[in-house]
Amino acid sequence: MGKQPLPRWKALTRAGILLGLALLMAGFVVRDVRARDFLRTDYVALGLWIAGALLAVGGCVLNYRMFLSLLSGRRAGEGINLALTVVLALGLAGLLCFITSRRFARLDWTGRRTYSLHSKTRNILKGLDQDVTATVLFARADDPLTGRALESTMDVLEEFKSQTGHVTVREINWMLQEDQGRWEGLRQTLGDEDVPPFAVIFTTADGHEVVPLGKIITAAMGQVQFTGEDAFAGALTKLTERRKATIYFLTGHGERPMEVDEPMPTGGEQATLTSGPAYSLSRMVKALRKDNYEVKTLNLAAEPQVPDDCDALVIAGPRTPINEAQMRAIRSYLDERSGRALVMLDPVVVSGGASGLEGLLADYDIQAHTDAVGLTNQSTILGLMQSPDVWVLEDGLADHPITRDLKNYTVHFQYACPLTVGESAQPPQPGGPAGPAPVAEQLLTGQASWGERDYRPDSRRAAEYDAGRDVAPPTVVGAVASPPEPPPMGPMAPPMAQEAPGARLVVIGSSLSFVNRVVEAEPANLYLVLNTVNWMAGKLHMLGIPPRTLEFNDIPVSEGQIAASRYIFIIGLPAVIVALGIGVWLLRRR
Amino acid sequence: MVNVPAITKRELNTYFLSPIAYVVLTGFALAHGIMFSMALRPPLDPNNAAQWALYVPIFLLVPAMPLLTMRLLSEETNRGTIETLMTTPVSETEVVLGKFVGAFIFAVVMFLPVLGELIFLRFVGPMDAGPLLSGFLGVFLLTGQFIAIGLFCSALTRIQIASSITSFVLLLGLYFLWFLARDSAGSLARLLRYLCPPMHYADFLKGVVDTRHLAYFALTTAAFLFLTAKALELRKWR
Repeated sequence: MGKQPLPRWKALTRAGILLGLALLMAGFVVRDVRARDFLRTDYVALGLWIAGALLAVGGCVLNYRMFLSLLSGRRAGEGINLALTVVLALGLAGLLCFITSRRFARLDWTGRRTYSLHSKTRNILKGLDQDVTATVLFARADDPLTGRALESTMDVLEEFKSQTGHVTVREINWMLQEDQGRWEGLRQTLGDEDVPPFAVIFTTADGHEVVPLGKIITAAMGQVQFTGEDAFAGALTKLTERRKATIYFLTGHGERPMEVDEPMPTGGEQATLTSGPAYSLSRMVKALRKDNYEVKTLNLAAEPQVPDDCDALVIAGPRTPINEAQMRAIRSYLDERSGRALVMLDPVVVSGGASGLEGLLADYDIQAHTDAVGLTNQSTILGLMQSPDVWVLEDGLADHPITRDLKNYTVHFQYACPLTVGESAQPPQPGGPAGPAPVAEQLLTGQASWGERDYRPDSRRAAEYDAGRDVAPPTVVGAVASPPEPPPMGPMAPPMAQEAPGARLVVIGSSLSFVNRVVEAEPANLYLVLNTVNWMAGKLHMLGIPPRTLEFNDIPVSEGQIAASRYIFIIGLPAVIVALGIGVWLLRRR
Repeated sequence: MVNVPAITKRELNTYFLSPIAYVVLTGFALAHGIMFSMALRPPLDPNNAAQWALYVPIFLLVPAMPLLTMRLLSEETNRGTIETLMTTPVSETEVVLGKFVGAFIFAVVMFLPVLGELIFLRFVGPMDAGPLLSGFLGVFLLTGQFIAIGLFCSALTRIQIASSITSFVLLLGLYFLWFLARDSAGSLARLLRYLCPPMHYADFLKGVVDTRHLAYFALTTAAFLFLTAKALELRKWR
């Protein structure tokens, strides 16, 4: 007896089950694509769900006998077993996909670590203790520059997400109708502030920071540079730091100017080497401001003491002696108020005289030999020559928070005066450093240099190390004195809240090595001074190497080379494969 | 798994002795050569050109892989050799893995012209080896996924052309998920974007190996191979 044909109403109702399921799915898709606000009712989606549910449930009820027969059939057990296995396996795969999308790592295989965050950015992200939303605001445009900016921005923000669970990234395409709701919400958050058409907006519960396209992509000398990582890290720092630290630069003694247009005091035999806009510290100051510091000047002739809001004092290459009253103010700041100071001392050959700081340094067990200049022998085609340079390589960097991240760099000092640590002839004065006794240690050492006491820049006579007169090699050009390190606390704790009381003093035997002309060529010098200030101010999360810009270089190739390559790849290679195929065919025929 | 190498060897013999394989190889080399030439314009950044050379397969694999995989199981079913194969002491998993590995090795051979293009670029100027390695890793993961999908479609039907069309539509559908969900931020849109292979492929070309993408390709490939094995198992009950 043949199988009975399926009645038409049953076939239709069974198709209705499938159609109902499809409508239910369609409802979800429509809901997801149309409605941004989860609480808003989408009537089209609701209609699809109701229609789908009615069709599916109605079809199932009318075909209940089919389901019963399927379940009671001979192969039902095996079928259900197989179906369950498939469902479980796919569910497991889905679960694993979900877990791996939440907990992930990104490995950068590029030679220049193009897609790796720099240590400073990583430290900032690891120190985040509040949730930050990064909103990428853009409009889809054919402009290649904007396209590249968007792509690189998303790359960097992906890296941010991989470093911390506190960063959430969302995109708003303000040209899309669907994104208008979120765009309006963002405008309300930002208040009256003008928002550029392309920007990344970082928001926390307390505030927001806008990074416009001009800070993400820059074009200099025809080269497109991506500076987004630096800009985003700076925005995060500004947004999450509870207090802006203040750095004072001492003035009134011929110190190096902070701004390019400030006049450079003359003096010293090397005045021509050390004057002009290229010899100001404006790049350093700009970098400090980017690290969220308030940078101010301090003239102790007008102020009786170092201000209370001073987080660190910078004395950058004084050329005239600091008088007794001012020295008392500096001592009081360091010794009684656990102050922090960075002293950059030039040799007399550059500064033209003593600074008066020698006695203070001796209290911290550091001696500055300003009467000598660090020299290094260099092999040239004219033979062995001496230059007033000290190169600090990896083996000359102390294992200290300031220098730990500089291991892959060379710090280059020019006209540096040698320092000695732990050989102070002067006993500590009464009322000296407060708190635990500071420990002085070497920070930067040029292994191949010595301190020449008879250096004459215009002399043709080659200088040589004289054991009885000169400062013995290796040459220490950086020293630090600080109380013993306390156990670590949260890296985003307020500046100076996480340290034991006691002064922090960093002495560097050169100020010339940090002027614009030098830090342009030697970025490690700038990193050194930024790390020093961050360490002194207690901003340990800001230590590390800041991001550098990325550039893309094209190589000129001739039209002939390109034409030849086209023939090879479009005709040559396919022809080889066709010949191989014909060869195989001929062989098989035999 | 002792029978996997034998099945793989049999598959490779079949591939390299069949004219369709050479048609696919020639077509792939020609199409890739034409598309690669589009990137050759002075001044040339060898790294960008190499990235493009490894990006092109994302378009070419969609039509190439169904042609390559359509006969893997359909032909066996059509000729009735699948019954013979299944009566030998080999498991469904071994059959599936053997055929997968065979097709994968053939696909690796298919990418030799790409290697030639990259060698040419190396002569033009210095290149970063990292993105090339990660790019090839991405290409192979994508190829593996497409072969697994093609193999699954081949297990569903005895007609080769139907298998080819099914896998082509499925692969194209995976690509269109991106167009469907590219400008949306909803959770379903995120899921659709997650399922879209090009979304996971782009990072490999830049030199970034993301564990999310590795997991996506590995898990989807494994899932389709598992489904293929279950589809073969289902035949026993028919």
